[in-house]
Amino acid sequence: MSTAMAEAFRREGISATSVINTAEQIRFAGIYRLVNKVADAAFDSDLYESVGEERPSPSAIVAAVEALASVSFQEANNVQIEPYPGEVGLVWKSGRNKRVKAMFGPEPHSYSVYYEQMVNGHVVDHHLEPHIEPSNHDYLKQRLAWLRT
Amino acid sequence: MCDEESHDIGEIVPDDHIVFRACMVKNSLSGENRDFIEPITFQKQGKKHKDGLSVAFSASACAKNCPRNYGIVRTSVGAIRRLNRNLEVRFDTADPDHALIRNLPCIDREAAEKGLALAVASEIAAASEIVSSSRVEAPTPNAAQNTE
Repeated sequence: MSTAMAEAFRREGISATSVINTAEQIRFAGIYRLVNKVADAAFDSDLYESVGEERPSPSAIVAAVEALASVSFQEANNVQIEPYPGEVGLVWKSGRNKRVKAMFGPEPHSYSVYYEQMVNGHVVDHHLEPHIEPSNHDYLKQRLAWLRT
Repeated sequence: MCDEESHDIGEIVPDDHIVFRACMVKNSLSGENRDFIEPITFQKQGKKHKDGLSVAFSASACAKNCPRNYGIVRTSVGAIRRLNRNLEVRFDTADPDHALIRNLPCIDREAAEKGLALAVASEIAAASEIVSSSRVEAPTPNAAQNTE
């Protein structure tokens, strides 16, 4: 977990000794909170089938944090974090019929976003958008907007 | 679909049978009262589930096979077949308490199969119901003898 946090802080150009102004402090606190949230789930052994399962890489955790930092505060708050061997999943739901899941795997271009809509127990619409550029969260934001409709 | 192995795969289980699956991770069930079955309960990893996704014919058999469980869910074989996803539930000829859901797409594959795996897992989860939302203890040998 500390490796992931160090990586997040390195990317943000922030260290414990940085002289930071108020806006940066707020941003730092926000990122710190998101890193904790994702890392807590990623290293929770109750969320894995066995102790030996691969945990998400620091880069996958950082990518998930960056995605969370790109969405609204409410969406970041309502997310369900679903680690899977080697992967971090971020899940948003609207009732029981619409779902959006962003996934961050161990490879550099393994960011993908899936959405589905269910009617009477059947998935009537779904798509997985693979290989999304890690810094581009437009598709995720589009899907979260769809979730709210 | 990624059923790579077919050892001990038996006949198709009739529609009127009920099958049980252990919640293998804590977030298999969600909601304040843990009353919603998450699709992750029915996601198959090709690396791990080489012959299909395991189910059992009773909650106790499920708990015996998966003592580290976070609850148990059940569904009917007919409900799985009626999803029209080409899924089959087949007996395990080596274990009368065990069966396998075959032809499930795998989550650890390329995008098209992964997307389908997510969708099919959602449908099976929606067709299932919760038997227990907390850990079910594996039957002790004495208890098993008493029920015989």
